[in-house]
Amino acid sequence: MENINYILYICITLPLLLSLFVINGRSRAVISGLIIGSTVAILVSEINSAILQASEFDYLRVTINATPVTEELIKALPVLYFAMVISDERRTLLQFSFAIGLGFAILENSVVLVQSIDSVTILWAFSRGIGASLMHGLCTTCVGVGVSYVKKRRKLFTPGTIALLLTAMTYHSTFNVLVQSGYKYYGVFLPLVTYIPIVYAYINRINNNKKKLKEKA
Amino acid sequence: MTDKIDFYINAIVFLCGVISLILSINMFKRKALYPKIIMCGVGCLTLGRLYNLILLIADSTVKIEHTISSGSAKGLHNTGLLHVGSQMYFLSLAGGFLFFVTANRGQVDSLVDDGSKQFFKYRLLSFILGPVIVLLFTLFSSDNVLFDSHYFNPVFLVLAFSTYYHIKHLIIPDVFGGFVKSLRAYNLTALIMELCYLMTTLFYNNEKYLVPFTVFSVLMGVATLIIPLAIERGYKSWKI
Repeated sequence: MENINYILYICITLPLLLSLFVINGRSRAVISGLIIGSTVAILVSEINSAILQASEFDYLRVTINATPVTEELIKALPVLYFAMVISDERRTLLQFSFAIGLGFAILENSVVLVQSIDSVTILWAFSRGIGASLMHGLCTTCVGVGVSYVKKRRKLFTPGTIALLLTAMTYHSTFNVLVQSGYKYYGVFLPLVTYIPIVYAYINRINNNKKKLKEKA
Repeated sequence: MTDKIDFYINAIVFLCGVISLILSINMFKRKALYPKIIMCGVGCLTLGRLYNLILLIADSTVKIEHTISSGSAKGLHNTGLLHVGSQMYFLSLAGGFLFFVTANRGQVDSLVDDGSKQFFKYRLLSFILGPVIVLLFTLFSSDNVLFDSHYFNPVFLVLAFSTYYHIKHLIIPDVFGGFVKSLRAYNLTALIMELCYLMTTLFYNNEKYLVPFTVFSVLMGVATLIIPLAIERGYKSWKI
């Protein structure tokens, strides 16, 4: 099946697209993020294929040195657009950017699943489902949340955004090295070790804010 | 340079980075943006070290897996080893130094330098010292293996840009509030750390310079550790 990537893309995004008409508010931003993430994934897969064909390097070297750059760069574009044009509120940006990362990971996982259908296992599903999804989500969130800080001043914005992108690229590449090596199942731990403290701090912060509001009231 | 030495040096610097990061998170959790941006810079540099470490650990297994899948170990890398000339490490360096630039340029520079003629000599001096370092580095290490990397040269432009602000904030006269003085310890430590990065890259992969490479690497790790302490000490006297 030559158009399998596009078939998967349609199967995943069409129901989400239809749901947009009955969803409002923040949920709409999240669903939009998932759709945009999947769209970015399909676009990036074409770019990465072109790079692989054009370059003299093999698949492994391209996935470690080139794909983190293209993927993070293109994933960041809708986040930057959202922050500049729609809203730079931190919580909305966090949810929107994480959704973009997840949308990207959903399509990427589906494509990888179809490509290696004979060798996949339940363990593979867990490691991809946790590892790759969290990694993409965290990388995009790093840019999204960071932009909400550096957008405050013009002098901060350009170097700050590039620095955030470079951080996301390094993180992505570190994960790619791990999953391409003999320690591929350890790849799950890197995003988990990053994700758990962040979520813990985030929930704590929300609870503290709620407490403060209650005390004020 | 053997993989073992490379691994231990990376591990030491990584450990220093992690400790520095934990210290920073505890110290700057509820503070201004300036120390938080620097914390991100330290985090990015530490992430680069982690990348290097994982690359070194994974190298042998990657080679084996690749041999099985393609029938040949050739083509993995120009040198045959994955970690030699690993390009993404340089992106983390650029990212880390850019965070330092962001903090100094975006948060402090406009407060200490209003662009008047009075400060021209400080700007000029800092500007000369930044590019001179890069130029000297280029002259000394033109035969270095790392120059093969596509991401290598932009990193040192960012580093020059970063040293410009560190030097400027070290030599510029203090303003009302006295925070230039309070930030001098941080700027000096960060400058030393960046110069150590420069020197370790110069001496990398050369058996002749193993001792200076190790010394500068350890110094770099120590400087990374001192950064949050230097900011915390200075931070007590000012707020942005």
